[in-house]
Amino acid sequence: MAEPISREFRLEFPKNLVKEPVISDVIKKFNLTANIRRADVNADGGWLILSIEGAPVVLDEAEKYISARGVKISPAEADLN
Amino acid sequence: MDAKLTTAEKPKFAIGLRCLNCGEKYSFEQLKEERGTTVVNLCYNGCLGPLEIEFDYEAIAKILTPQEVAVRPETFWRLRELQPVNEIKIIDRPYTPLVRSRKIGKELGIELFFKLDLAKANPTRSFKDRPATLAFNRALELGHFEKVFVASTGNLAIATAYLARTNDLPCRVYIPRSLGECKKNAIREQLGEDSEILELDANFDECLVRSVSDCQKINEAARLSGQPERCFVPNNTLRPFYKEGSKTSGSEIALQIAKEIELDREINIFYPIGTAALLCGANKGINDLKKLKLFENPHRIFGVQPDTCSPVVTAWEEVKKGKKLEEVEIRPLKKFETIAKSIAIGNPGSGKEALAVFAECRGGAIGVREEDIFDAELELIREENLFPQFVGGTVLAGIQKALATGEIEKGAVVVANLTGFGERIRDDIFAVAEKYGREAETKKLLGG
Repeated sequence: MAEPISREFRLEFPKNLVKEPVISDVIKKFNLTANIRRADVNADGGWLILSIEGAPVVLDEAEKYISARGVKISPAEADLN
Repeated sequence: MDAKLTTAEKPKFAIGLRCLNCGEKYSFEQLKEERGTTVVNLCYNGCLGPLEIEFDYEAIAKILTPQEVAVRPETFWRLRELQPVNEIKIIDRPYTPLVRSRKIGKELGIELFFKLDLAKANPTRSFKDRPATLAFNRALELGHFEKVFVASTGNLAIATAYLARTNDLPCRVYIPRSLGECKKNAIREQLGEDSEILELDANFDECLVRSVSDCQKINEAARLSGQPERCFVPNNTLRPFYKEGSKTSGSEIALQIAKEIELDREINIFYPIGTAALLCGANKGINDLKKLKLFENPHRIFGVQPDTCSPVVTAWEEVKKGKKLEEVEIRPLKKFETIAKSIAIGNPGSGKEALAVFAECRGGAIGVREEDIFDAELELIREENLFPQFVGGTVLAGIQKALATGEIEKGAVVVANLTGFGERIRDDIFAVAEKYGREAETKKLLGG
């Protein structure tokens, strides 16, 4: 098993997914440790900045999973502009 | 891991980094100890907000005295102590010119100056040469980077490609396949032999995410095997350093205009707003000079956005109506379109900081109509023989509007920043001229 690392992501939730337990699901499914660092979510959607810890290959899969659930996911760093 | 810093890792006059969001501070030693690297751009102990470099002004003041600055030549590295560098790796170049308006100033009844970042003094004729220079200087000082990635549809890609080529680093530029030929060619012209353009069937945002993601994964793998970072994205991986480069725009203007006007006169400086990082940096550059007693004139900074893409103007209107600065948010736009493509940014990263700048110096954000941008663009070409990108027209239209609404008065000293050279958007200008039914006039001015 590869050494766990931490990656930071920005997740954008559209209105229809605000009530879906996407984060809870991804944590359980991939056995990750996650930490919400900042967030702004309301009934109309929103964003959050999330740190996830796990093996690099597992993080790649988790990223694909979140995206496939309809949540826009990008490296938190890509938000620096 | 050995936490001892190399000379290059600790910029001589910098104390450390500070989070712009939560205020958490990091020394360079701490970064090395906790992260194994000083290449950090997010606040990892706190909120993952953006980091900014803090300087030791007491030490700087001992060197940058008015007498010392007066004898130094007017070049990019003139105030190098105010930059996060130890050794200068990027060749010096002259200030970009600050010139008096020939006709438009008189017509408007103001003392109008143009700051020509579109001039040849900037190697790729746009203001992006400033921040990109700082990112590259840092990368070259650290010495372990093998490749540079960038996602940009214009000026930043060109500035990065140039710096990569002239410093023997391969470069990969991520662009949307739909980008116009004029811009693609301008990027190709600057690319070195080992460099490439990656055309993606994606929009600009997706290109940016891809470039950052690719870079991060390579660096992550390097770190896991105990190696330093191998690649960088100038405005991202080395963001805290990149940002400092924009200070030179403000400090150059201040030192140049101080020679033209009396000490007590107020100067009104107009910038376009894209991410708003340029005007925030410029303000910091001017405030640095004031701290060091190198410049005394009162200054105001204004930012201009097209009405069709104006999230900062909208937020500023709320401030003007009395809402507290802390309570005002920049609401990102999902859909926007403007002829001033290089400032078509729906979520300006430094927007909130810009509001604080306007409040601090009694400036403001101004929205202008697309037709007025086009008119002002042609006016600059016709009356002043200057050829900026549409952002130049945007700035002039902003000055005209500020005069009409009384935000600035007749007789005022005004600086218009012309931040990028128009030649590389020639095809765009003709396309817009056609849309407005003004091809003949445009053709007469630009030829072709």
